[in-house]
Amino acid sequence: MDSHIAAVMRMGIDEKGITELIGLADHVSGMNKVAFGLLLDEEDGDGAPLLPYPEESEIEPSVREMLSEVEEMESARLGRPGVPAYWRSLARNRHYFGSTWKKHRLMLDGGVLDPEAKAAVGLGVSATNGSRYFIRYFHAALVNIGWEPGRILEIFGVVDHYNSFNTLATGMQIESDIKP
Amino acid sequence: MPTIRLPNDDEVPEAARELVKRIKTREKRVFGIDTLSNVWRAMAHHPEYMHANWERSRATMQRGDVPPLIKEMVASSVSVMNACEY
Repeated sequence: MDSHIAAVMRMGIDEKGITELIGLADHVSGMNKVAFGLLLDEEDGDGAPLLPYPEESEIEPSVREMLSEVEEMESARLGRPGVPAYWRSLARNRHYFGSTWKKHRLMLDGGVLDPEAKAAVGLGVSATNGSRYFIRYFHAALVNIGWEPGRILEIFGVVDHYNSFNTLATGMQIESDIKP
Repeated sequence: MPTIRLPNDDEVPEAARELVKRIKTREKRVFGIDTLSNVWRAMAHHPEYMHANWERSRATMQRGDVPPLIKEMVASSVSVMNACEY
């Protein structure tokens, strides 16, 4: 990572931006694992999510209010109506849901980095982690801002090439010589 | 310590020398360094493998419509996910 962080900083991203970039990777990676654990991909197949979505009566008023915001923001991001399954799944725990949604807004829509770049990073991290749910999520976000299939495939090319180089660098225990 | 010793400049096989020059030009521009980076130096043991990876590096990082900054940010996050210090 040292060499790429060095390259990103030479392109004008400062320490706050780098912290945000690594924070985005941490955020997306956590969501990848939860979506996998909750079996949210099963929605596309024969199975059902691990936990049932909360009934209306099980949702606290403060959460209901936040779900309206989720619906508005995520519809705009993904170009399709409704509350994504991920957020519906979390909604029975107001503390976990609320803090994760706030972090999501900061990591994807706020902060200092370009939201378009963030969606591409989200796709790259999700592909690296094999998260079907979030591959679809970030793919939808990129399509919604006009990315064509050829452009999206370029992200997979970068993911492929650097998974390959990471394996080489780790396997040969190559010492980091390009520092930020 | 590397798994195997990295070749010094004099030990780079003849078949890799022209490519080393091109890679150094690229690395000077991207990283501001004057010497061949360790990851490419390691590959120089095997010029055919080095060539194959250089072609892929050019294809994925230097071609296409996605801005270089976005590509480097994706590469950074992939490396973070793989806990690859390099």
